[in-house]
Amino acid sequence: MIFPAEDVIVDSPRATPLYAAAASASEANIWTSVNGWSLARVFTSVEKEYHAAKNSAAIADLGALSRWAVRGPEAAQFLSRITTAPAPRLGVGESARGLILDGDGGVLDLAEVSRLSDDLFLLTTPTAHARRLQLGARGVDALGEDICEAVAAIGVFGPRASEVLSAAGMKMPGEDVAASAVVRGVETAARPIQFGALPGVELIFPAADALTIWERLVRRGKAGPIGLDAMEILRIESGAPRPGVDFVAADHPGTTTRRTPAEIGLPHLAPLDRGWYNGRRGLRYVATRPERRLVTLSVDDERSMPGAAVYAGGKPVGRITSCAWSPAIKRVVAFADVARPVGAKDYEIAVPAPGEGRVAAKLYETPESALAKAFREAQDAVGNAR
Amino acid sequence: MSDVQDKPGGGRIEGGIDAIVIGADAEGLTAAAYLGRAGYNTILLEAGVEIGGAVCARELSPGLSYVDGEHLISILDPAVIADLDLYRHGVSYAARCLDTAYFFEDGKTLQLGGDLQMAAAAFDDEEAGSAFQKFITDVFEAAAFCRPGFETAAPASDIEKAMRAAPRSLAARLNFFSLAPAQEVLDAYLPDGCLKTALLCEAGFRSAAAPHEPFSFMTLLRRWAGEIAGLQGACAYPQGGAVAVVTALRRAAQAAKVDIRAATGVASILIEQDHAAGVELEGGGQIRAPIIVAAGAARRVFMEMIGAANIDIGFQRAITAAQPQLASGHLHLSLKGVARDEKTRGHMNRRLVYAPPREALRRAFADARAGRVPDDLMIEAVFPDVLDEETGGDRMQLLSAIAHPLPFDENPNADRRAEIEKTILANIEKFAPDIEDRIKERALRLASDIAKSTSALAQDYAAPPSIIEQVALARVAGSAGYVSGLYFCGREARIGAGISCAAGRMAAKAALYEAKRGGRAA
Amino acid sequence: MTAIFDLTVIGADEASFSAAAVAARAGASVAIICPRKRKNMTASFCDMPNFVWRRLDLHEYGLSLERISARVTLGPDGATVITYEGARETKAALVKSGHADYLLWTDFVDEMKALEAGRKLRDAAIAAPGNGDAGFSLFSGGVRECATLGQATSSCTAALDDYLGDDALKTHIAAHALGPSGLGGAEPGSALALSEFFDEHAWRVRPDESGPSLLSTLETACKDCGVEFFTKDIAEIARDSARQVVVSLVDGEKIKARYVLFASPGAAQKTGMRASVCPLAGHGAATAVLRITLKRPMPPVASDDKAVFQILDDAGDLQVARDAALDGRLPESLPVEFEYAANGDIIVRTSYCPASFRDDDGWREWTGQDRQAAARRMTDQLASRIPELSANVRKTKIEIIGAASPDRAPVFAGPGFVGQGWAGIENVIVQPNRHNAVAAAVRLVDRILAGE
Repeated sequence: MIFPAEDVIVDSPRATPLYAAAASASEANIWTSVNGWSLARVFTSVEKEYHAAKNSAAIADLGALSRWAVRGPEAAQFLSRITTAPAPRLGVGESARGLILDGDGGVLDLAEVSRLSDDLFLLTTPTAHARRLQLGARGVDALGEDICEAVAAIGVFGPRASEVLSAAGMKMPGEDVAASAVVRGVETAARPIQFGALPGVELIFPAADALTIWERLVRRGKAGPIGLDAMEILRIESGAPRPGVDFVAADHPGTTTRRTPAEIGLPHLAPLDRGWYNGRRGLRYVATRPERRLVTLSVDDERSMPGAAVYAGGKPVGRITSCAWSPAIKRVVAFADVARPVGAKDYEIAVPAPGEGRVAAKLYETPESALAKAFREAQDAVGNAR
Repeated sequence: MSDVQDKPGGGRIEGGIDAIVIGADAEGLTAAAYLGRAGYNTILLEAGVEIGGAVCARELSPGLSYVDGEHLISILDPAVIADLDLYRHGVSYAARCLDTAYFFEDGKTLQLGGDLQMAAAAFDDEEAGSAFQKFITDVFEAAAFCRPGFETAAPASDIEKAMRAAPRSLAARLNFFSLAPAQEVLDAYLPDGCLKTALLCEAGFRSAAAPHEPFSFMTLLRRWAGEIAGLQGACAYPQGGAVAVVTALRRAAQAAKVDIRAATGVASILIEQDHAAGVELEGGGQIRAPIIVAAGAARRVFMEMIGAANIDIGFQRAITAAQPQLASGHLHLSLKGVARDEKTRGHMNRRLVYAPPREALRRAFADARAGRVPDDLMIEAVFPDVLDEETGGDRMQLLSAIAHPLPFDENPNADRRAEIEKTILANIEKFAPDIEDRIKERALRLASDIAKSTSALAQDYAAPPSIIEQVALARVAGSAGYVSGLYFCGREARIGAGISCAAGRMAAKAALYEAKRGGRAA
Repeated sequence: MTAIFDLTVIGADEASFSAAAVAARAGASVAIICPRKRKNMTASFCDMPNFVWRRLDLHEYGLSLERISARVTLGPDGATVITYEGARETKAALVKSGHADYLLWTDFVDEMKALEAGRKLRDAAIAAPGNGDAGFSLFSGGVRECATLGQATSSCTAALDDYLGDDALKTHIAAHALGPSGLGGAEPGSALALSEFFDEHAWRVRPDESGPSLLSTLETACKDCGVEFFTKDIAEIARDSARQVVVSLVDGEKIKARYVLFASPGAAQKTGMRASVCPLAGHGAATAVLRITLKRPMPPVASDDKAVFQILDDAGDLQVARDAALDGRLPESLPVEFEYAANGDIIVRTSYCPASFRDDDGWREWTGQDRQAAARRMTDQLASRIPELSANVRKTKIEIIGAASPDRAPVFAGPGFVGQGWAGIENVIVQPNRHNAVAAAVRLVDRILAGE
């Protein structure tokens, strides 16, 4: 799950249950806030944390995300109404990604739904959507409960994630099945997640036990904490757009931009031929003619430059929304919001002074864009067959 | 024996149908007739046994029956009359251009001819007359301009275009008319007096928007956008009462080979791939068709027949937001004795309106909103048997009245009903003294009563909110939640009180247009 | 002598001066007519938005700004609801006081702010110079616009009921949103007040006793950018030609202008003009401002002397009070708001007074007795929440704004009156009571100047 954009005004952020542990681990002491919660940007150094996650394992405080427990006989219908994730089709323990759309098919947010039991689901979203959940529950036999304040969440990513967990005395959940266990008398739930291209696990447990579990993972599992900046590189490399940065929610006060799932490169999360979800009919009207596309580019340059103009065929077609220097490919990897009709693979990006000019950029295939591409090809094949 | 055999039609799937219309009220009949005339194999399904929705004839005393729901027509869409040949199917006017007699608290009366433009020209008081003439000219022009805006499914771009082309002075005036309280508009145009009080009442009549509150002038503008027998802003009494319109619509639908099935309730609307695919009947069985027009209340159509879990939450919020506070009450009285002499009959040959003074009217709205029965009510009354000789009994006379504003009550108890009846009678007495002694039978029809007889919800018959709110809601409801092939012409898609049929016409037109474009059906 | 101006502003309050100064700085020729200087009792209620501050460079005049620290509603039996401008603080406060709707607060504020249709409607209602179709073009919106239009034109009560479940919180919001314009919760269009309430960030000037007042500073700012001042009373306002208005003063001087702006309804009422169509106008009501000087200093309620307080038992009382005011009576349970002046005085205000009174003989004007009764009722309301106040009042001073003479027919101002023969003047714009009169007046001036 991706964090939303950082808060514009950092106004006395609240401490997550893991704040004490994170604060003592933070050598760099650089903080920011997301959804009003304090989060460390860097613990030791960005590159060190990045490599740890890539090659070993890293743990992150995921307490700033919005979490809801959804119960009731119609919980699955309720969730498949609110999000595009196919909640009714999930077996117990399974999770699915999706989007939250408004009535006209505009993207509001990302979402992740996990089925914990027959009539209990966990909904995780980057930002809170209390009103939507309130409205969505009208006429449906389900009840959502905000559990943000009550639980703590830790993400463990990297190839060694399962080793870390078992060293800490916790069972690694199966490939795609969540598991719950009692660790030293503490009720925990673990569910597999992907962060970037990295396999990972998210542990959710009562806030009171946050520090105990964190300590066990660090001491016994030998996992180092990872801050927001290193996670941002992993995110961009994996091709996951960030709400509020790479796209703006359609209901954001004052916004005039609306993006459909296809326009933010996530058409596979809102297929038109799957079960019903809020906004699907509206989407049907707009899905066939995307006007923009969010692409990932690799840039032959070492400077980061969000907001820089993107050119194709010599004409400006868009701008960079977020970017990071990727230690893996030794280039800048960037998200760019470009005009759709351009079928170009090669772009140019304006670089600021000194040496003002443009540098070359190419479409860069990320795990996410590969999924989108496969999805589009499958759709085209179906279309052609008809 | 299996379930299938138990229920008639159980498990049966009926195909070969082009269009299904749900609900046989005036709008549903209109939509069905339009579809049938276009050559579509159309079925009209009505859950109740009566065709016509709320508007139907009921017996009050032996040999004397009243028309439930509506007693006059004023905003009936002229295009529907022309397109469906309603004159040929039996609509004729017993009184084509009804004069109105206004009665005031201080005993004064005011007569206004049915042709308002003529009436203004012939006004006694010169100062008031010229002001009235100016007012009528301005409002009629604006009302005629707004007419497409009151036809729910009119494309927004058309209205926008018309708006751009409007002269600047008209546009500014429309701005004023659409936002201002009726009281302010009338204050700006007319000198104080009976005429102003009368028009103030007209503006508040059958609306939940009180005349001293914003957006209320539009109620009058909406009424005057209507046209009966070529006369803008007039009222008419059809031969046989308002029910004659419904009967004619039914004949038009039958002539267009529409298959009308009463007592056939729809349990759910089938949606496949976001496209309406047919309906499932309450008794079991399916009827499949690519076009479905729904005329019931939005809550019923979308929340029950489609289900909350299958509609957009914003759409759901919009169609369920309204919490009605006000309603009108209908009172029908059978009176002993018949006035025979021409003079009395001449007086009774009108639309009679009791118009309380401004302050009383304001208090009435405040009281009704707070759940109290107001002392003063606006009354619109007619003597149907005087207007239409055919309906009269020999020794009895009928009076049909609508009173407004009353508190909306989902389930009024006997005390409340008695209180309401007493208040309405007290207000009728103000222009028809001693009527109480002549009453033989009485029928009080509140929103809940009318709803009961049509198996609808009481709130579907509550007083509609301000026109601007109705237009907004009609646009949203008219989108039918973006289900393609589904068209909505129920209560929420209508603008203004009274039989209009515009929503049914526009729903059918939209269905025909899209079917032609998409090459679907027929 | 006849002078011709682009804009004539009438009024002697902060909004009028701000509007005049901004227009003059934008290059328009501006006159301001401020007939009588009155002691400004409402000074501490005045909001000064940042953008106006910047455009007039008020920091150069030695003023400083502070925030309204909190919005407080004192309910019956000591029940108190507090909200803040920051969503997080508000949430925390709501959690602390056990109000169930804290989760919805952020979404609620955002949605009210985003009532785009509401903003269009509001603008169209107050003035649409140049292009009069703004209000009616709402008919041509798409489905999404119509959904918000439906919300904006409905009542405040309906909007709150749709969103929130907590009665105390609903009462709190209704009191603060509707209080300034004196509207009832059930009136159509009162939902607009919600969108206006959450739309603007409120900042206030509370200069210390020694420094210059905001009013005098704005007056100086006006003079510095060449606004011409007239201090005579107005005899008549009339249309000169389709595009010009002439204001005659008592001494026979005539001032011609293309637009005349009343930045607050009070000034307009004196000349018999009134805003025509705004749903927020709250016609038929007057505003009473009461200044209470204390015998000895008293600790402020909730230990906060920078908050705005409302006193209201129940949200429904607003409509009851509104109905009473329209009926020509002083409401039994009068909703009042109050705040503390810099010197510790309590300034109490209510917009639920009748514009004129009605008794058995018909309508009559405000009398001295009525003013006393209103002052007493306002003091009583305050004392019902602050019991120690009753014994601590040294003196009170009351001012009634917007009281109208019952026999004087109002002259309508604003859009809709183009080239018509009746008693209205299009180019005269009267602003109703606004949450942030300064911001609204300045925006209005911008639109007037841009509409040319």
